[in-house]
Amino acid sequence: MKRSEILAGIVVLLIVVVLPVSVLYPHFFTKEPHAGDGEILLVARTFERGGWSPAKVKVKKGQKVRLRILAEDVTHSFQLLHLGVDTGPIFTGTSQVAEFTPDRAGTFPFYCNTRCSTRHENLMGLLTVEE
Amino acid sequence: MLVSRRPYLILAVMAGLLATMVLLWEYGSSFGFALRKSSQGGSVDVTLYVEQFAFSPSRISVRRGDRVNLRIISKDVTHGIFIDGYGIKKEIVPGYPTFVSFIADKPGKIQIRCAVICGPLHPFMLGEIVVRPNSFYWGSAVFLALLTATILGFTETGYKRSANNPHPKIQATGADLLGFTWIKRIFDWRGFQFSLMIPGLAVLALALLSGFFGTPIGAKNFSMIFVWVVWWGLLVLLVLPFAARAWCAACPLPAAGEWLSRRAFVEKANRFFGIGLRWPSRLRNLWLVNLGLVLVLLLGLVVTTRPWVTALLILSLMLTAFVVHLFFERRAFCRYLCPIGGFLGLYAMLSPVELRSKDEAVCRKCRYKACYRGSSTASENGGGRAAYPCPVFEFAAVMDRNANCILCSECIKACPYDNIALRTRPFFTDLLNTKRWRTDEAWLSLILLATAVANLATKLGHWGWLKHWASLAELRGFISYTLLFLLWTLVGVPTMHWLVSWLSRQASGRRDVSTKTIFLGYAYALVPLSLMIWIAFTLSFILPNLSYVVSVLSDPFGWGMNLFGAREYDWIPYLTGWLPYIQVASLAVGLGLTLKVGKEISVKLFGEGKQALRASWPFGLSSAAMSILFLALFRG
Repeated sequence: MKRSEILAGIVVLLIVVVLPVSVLYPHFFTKEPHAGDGEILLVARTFERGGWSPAKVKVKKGQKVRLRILAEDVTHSFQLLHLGVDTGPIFTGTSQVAEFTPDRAGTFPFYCNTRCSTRHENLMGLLTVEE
Repeated sequence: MLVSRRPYLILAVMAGLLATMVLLWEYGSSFGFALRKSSQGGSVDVTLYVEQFAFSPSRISVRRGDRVNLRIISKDVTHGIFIDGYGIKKEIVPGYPTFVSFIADKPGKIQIRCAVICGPLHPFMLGEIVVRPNSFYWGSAVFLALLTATILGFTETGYKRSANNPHPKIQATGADLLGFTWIKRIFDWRGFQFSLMIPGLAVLALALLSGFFGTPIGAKNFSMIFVWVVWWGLLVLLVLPFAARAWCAACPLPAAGEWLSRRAFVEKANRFFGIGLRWPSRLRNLWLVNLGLVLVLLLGLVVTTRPWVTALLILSLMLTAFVVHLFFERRAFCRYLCPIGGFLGLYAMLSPVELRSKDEAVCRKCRYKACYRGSSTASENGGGRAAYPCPVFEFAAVMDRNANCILCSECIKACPYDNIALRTRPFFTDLLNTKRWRTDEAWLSLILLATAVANLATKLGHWGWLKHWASLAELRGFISYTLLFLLWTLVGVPTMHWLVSWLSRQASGRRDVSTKTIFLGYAYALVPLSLMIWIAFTLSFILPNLSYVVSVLSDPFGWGMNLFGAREYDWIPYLTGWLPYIQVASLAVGLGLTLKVGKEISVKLFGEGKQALRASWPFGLSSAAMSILFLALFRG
């Protein structure tokens, strides 16, 4: 085979195999790229599209929590009244970090506080603070 | 000479007078002489509701100089408002009315856009504030009318038809680009087409990945922004008007099939892979292309708003090309199936470049015809290089139009006599050089004009219900939209065109020229108008959305990457205050060229003399009416 063919083959291989693998491997097999170190990723979607993901979050009492909340379809916000957290509007396609240190144990509901669909009120998740 | 200068001088003087009048009328007061009574400065209070994906009222009418107080309330989710030309940008959070106030001091239509991503159709959520008197619109309409009268009444035709030369050709007079050694060397290089395809292939791979696995938010997804803003923008603004079907040489869609069937990426292999059937003769036309185009454009609002649908469209085109390559010889897909190919092919006829044989006599003597059949060894080809046969079944010796040539350079490589030229030439040459008007091509032209209207109305209009129907949000609405779309595209516009052709026939007084021939001929004359409308539409869509390119480059999949540190780059609509001028200028250029070509085609139809002149009036007036309809959609 000619050298030009081999060279061209390598370029095609890079695009067709190496590029997809290097994009998809970290996406599927390592941590969510959106969340930085020590952050928990919480994706906000409308209730009709599946709601909070994950819908249940577990944290430890007395330890600082960093929740990175990503709005994935329309503008949402994150409100956890029991612990006094409210991010305000998180615009579509952007994320915000809610940082707090839970000082009591228990299971607390969190909501979206920016109307996001007709069933906006149903958009609820649970945060469990363990001892 | 095709273009005589005198009428354009008259036109320039008239345009200058008109512009001076408008300037004095609008801005005279600043120089101390008030032609127009200065406005009273009233106050207009409007409660503006926003919901996915419309403003209501979608059109607000105010008088010039009024203070406009908007109280904006969201009915569903968070939206925003951006007012073209006033630099106002605010968020509208549900439950909290937003107040916006400005003095409407510029005449004409102001578009208002949603400024916060609110769902798939967000980029097309538009409203209008019309500042009366809409002198910009009326002034532009008068200008288009003057343009029509000047061209129809005063220009001379350059096309001279006589009995012994019924199809005189307009000769390309420009330079042969292949005469420059370095250009010739690039085209002769076997890696030429491969290296054109590689950037496209990389973009395509990323578009498929981001379309299927990336964020569903179109504005934050590489596939949407790089296909419908960057690729589409470059295609319509650079390739369509200037570079014939050059994109087809670089297009990665048929890459897999072509490389497999050639058993090579770059070099010339001597055996091919596949069944190698000949494309059925009944399908050797543009009807499947027309069908594909109508379908793709019908689904336009669905495809351009959801990343996975775009990815699916790309994938299905790729797969179709691959399967066609397995069964049929050469690039049958590109010539007879690809809707983008048909779109490009029609406008390629306008391009100021052409690939042709230099000297017909040399071709007549040539025995092997390597440009058409390809050549496997240098010796049997009389000294030419090994090259593939023309992928789109063109024979360079007789090729006299750009419509099918994809500029892949194989014939340049194949010709042992260096008898292929890549010449520059006047615009729209092929439209007049077409010997036999083709029904399928005429319909392609009409389809592209008609769908431009539908496209403009759904994407850039202020009618929320139409967007709702067209976006496939619910089936019944979409069926209604489909019926409307097909009725307009396949019945409405062609019927009008038929009527105009019949009127032209009546006006000419000629009974020996059939209405059908006139129908076909004038359809070719509409090509420049529809091209310029697509250009105006494209600019009106990409300028407001171009800034997304920055953030998408940093985070192509919406996964929170920050490759270049610009992930948070904010949405800024560029130059939207200039859009009115861009749109009117495009319309004027398109209408002007269409009238000019229409007049030349009249001579082709009816011969020189009064008959052709009379016949060009109904066509010219209807083209002007069409342009003013577009003007109304843009600025009315």
